[in-house]
Amino acid sequence: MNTRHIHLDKVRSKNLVHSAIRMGITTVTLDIFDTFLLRNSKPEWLRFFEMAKVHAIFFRRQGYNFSTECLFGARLTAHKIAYRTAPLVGKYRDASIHQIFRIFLNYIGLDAYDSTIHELVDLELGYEKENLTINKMLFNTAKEFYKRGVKIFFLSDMYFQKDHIEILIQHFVRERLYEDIYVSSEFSATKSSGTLFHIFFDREKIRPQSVLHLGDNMVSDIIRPKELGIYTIHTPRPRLQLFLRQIRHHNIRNRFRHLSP
Amino acid sequence: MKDLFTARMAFGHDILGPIFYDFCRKLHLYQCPYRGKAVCLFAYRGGVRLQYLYNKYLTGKSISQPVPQHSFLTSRILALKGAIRNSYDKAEKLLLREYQGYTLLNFFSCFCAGNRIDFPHDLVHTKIDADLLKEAVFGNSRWAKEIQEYLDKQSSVQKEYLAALTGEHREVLLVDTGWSGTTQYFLMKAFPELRWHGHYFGKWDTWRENPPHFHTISGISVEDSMYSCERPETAIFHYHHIIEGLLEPKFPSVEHLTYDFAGEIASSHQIDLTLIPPQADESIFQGICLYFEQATKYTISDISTQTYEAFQKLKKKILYPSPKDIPIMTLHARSADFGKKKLVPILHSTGNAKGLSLATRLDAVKKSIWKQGKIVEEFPLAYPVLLRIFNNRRLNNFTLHLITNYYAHRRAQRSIKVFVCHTG
Repeated sequence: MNTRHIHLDKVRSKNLVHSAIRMGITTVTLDIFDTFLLRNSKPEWLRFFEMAKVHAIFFRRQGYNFSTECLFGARLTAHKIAYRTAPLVGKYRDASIHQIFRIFLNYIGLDAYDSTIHELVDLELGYEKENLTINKMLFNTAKEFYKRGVKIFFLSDMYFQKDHIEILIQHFVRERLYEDIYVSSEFSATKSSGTLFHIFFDREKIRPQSVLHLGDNMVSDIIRPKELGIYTIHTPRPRLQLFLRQIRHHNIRNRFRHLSP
Repeated sequence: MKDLFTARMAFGHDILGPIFYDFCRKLHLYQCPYRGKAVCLFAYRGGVRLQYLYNKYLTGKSISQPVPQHSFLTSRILALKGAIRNSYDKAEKLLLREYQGYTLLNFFSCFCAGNRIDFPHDLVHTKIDADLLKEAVFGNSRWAKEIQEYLDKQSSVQKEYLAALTGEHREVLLVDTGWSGTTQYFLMKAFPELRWHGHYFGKWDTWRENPPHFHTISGISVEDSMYSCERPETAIFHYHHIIEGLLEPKFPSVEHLTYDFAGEIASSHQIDLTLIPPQADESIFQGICLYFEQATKYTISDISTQTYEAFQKLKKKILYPSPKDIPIMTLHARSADFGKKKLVPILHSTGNAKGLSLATRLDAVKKSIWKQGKIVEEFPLAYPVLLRIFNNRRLNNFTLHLITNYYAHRRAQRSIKVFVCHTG
């Protein structure tokens, strides 16, 4: 724990809970995607492409004929523009799924009605439910912390909103172990800039020294919280999985190079 | 001549047409999130032609503009005048670079054109340097005070002008050709009460410094710090005047603001708005506009594919042009900017003299804006090999090293000969 940087697979969860409590940890914060909820080896572009297939069926039912490729290109462009035009906090921006779909609908020439956006978000959540799995080891550790009276929070840099993430977590976990969820898209603040941690401390009135954060991203889950004096544990995805993801990303990128936003 | 006109028009239609159409499509998407919250200012001169194309796009698609738009009389030199005291260090660096070797009088006639100041005789022909510039901006001498009065007036006129354009809005979307957003930097310094967002055709971190204002700028069509073979659009960095030169209507840039006869704020130079649409001799721009008229029949995917292919073709034509491409892609000489009367040609002329030395030819390549184009012009037989070397960074460095060493060796030999002759 002195190094504030431990690979979770090297310690038993019970030992971790014991030593954390002994060190005065009263709050545990968890990253969500690729930490508490695990993604498979599909890279972002492939997920968007598969989503475009789902969207194509959805629009066909509504009487619009869009090709998968067209919707995929629209999603990539909308994603980029939403992040570029999101409110600026310091030097960072974070987009929301609603904004992404609003731009997406503008791109394909449809009116961005709230009802259509909600339907698209529901489709996206359905797709995520099929492709995510729970990190059992981390879930058991969180459960152990919860039993010992340690408060659990989720902190994520993600375009989904809080209620969307709640839906996803509740799909996998019936018990509510956590106190609250902090999502970058709702606060216009990110973990990668450190601003989301500041908001979390202010709202929960917690000292950084009593917090343990677990996550997979080297910058937003390790370096930034460490700078703020938070204890961190790195929970990276297996290298083979990351490698596979990279290969699949290159494949789809080469296939749809012309759609690159 | 007619063939050249047709070829240039085809270049505009087939290559630059899809590129600008895709830019306008994305510009619209970039503006949508600011609906009702911002005002869009198209910066003179390049920006107003983008505005012309953007409005053509909106009309073609029968969609309304998401935010109110205005043409915006500005330029690097004008924005700098408004911000020189707030951002002196950057302004000084830029001014000393632009007016290197200028005397105080010449500097003044360019920077404060149309004004008259009696400088002390001993200073008139003094070359402009950091101390003299600082004296001009912050000093207490009579001539410095007159310059400061001019700068203050420019600053207040700009403020009044911007207030009229922005109204109640605090978010400003600045649309321009690009590249490093110096104008926006000075505007941000001069008017910090406004939130500036740059929506440029290209964003180029030329010196890889990641300047502080860069996070407020988006390069809609191209964005990088250098050319990368995997991203064909970055080839534009080797000849970005193909975009800039094309978009600049033939009226002078805005050097300072003044009040016209009707009491309205106007540019110091007369601006003829009829020069914004394509003119009879602007065949490339005509081709682009023709594409915009025809593009309504294409699907979203068609436009994406055509844009990608157009960037691939443009990359090939910029980096590896054929002799046929040179007259098609060479634009008219560009003004040196910053109030200077000098013109900068795209391809530096060596005259029609035959038997020029290699050093003269290489010098002409170095001085040309489009270096690959000049290589083809100067070395009509060897250009395929030379372009391979020039465009390959490692080979290029190695060749430059050899050439430099060769000339250094020759110079050394000559000096030895001279020395031997002198010493007998």
